[in-house]
Amino acid sequence: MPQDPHTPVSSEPPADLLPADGQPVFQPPGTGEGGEPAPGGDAGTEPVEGYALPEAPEAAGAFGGPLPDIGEASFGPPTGPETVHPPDDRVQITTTGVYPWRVHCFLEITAADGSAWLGTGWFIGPHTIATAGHVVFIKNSGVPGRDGWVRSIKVWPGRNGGTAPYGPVVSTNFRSVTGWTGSGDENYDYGAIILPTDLGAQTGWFGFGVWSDADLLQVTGNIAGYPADKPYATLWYDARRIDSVGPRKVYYDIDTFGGQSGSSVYRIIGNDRYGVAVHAYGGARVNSGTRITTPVYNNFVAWKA
Amino acid sequence: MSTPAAPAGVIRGTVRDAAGAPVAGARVAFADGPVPLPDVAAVTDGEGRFALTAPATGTYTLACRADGGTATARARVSGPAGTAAEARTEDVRADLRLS
Repeated sequence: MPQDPHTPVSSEPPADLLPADGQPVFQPPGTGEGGEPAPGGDAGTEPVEGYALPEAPEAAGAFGGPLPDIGEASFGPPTGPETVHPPDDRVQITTTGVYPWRVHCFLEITAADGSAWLGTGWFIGPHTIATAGHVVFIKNSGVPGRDGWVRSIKVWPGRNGGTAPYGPVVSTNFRSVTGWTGSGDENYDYGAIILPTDLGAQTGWFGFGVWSDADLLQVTGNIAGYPADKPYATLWYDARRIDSVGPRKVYYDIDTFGGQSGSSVYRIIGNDRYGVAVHAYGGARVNSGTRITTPVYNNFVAWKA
Repeated sequence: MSTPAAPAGVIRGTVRDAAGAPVAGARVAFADGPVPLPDVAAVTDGEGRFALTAPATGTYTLACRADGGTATARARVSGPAGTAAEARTEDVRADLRLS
């Protein structure tokens, strides 16, 4: 039923997206088999040899420097080109058999029409992999027979080119939400792959949580995934400070490319990694992911059970 | 932001090697476009074919990588023809040649 255009609205944030007391809520990570992972670096990045967080541009006061168009407030940062924003400082990860890298999964997707696609996912529990909604359910493709739940996904945890330290495992069991499957709304573009085995008990998994806007804006976002512009099935990493947040989205200038949909946008606290968003879209100045709000968190908790 | 019920276009093409033979298993993704785009990559079928959804009108840049090289191509999506009631998704062609 169409909504009455005179339905009153408020300047208050949408209710129930964040914890009422403002305190973070999170699920803990698990490191799987083997030793403890290396702690994160001082800047909140992974301790990857050869990688350094680029220096942030000089901070400008609220009105002290170039300002974004007011339209960004309503529509988010500029739409459009380039998911890799120069300089491209992605680094390849070759130690994919150890935590935390083995948490990231290379996904070979077969859609309902038999077409083949590539994506990324990340373990959030022993048999559950978080990913983008459009990885598990294709919406409004314009191609006959393609829309709907994908036929199957072959999951390769920690794959490094021709080397597969775990799996593969094939799944035909997926989860998403009606905001995506029914409406195709990018604010609800998230889902999950349920594995028929507990492979995640070996690989480990990331925690995930709900943090306030102010907290997220102080965080370095980390992304590792499987971009298609690199050698097949190789894992690449990049990090940046979170650029901006919306009620249901997180925006960042972390370089990504096609094939990285579904990657974890995660923060590091001590030795622990926590997803804060699910990467889904490439954009002009920044890329974006579906924010882990309270409803997303609750679904992830249910789906990892 | 909801995905439109019918996208502006579908960009179809074939990836070929330097000798002109179709390339199966090549990866094709958007590197540029008029709106934020899902960060997935298509894999060409046994005849080197792919079909990517263009949700909005505008110019798209496609990037391809395969064992035999890389390629890029641009495609202009003008939008569905006809009135809104009878609008159909536009088919746009964009072939790629590896080098």
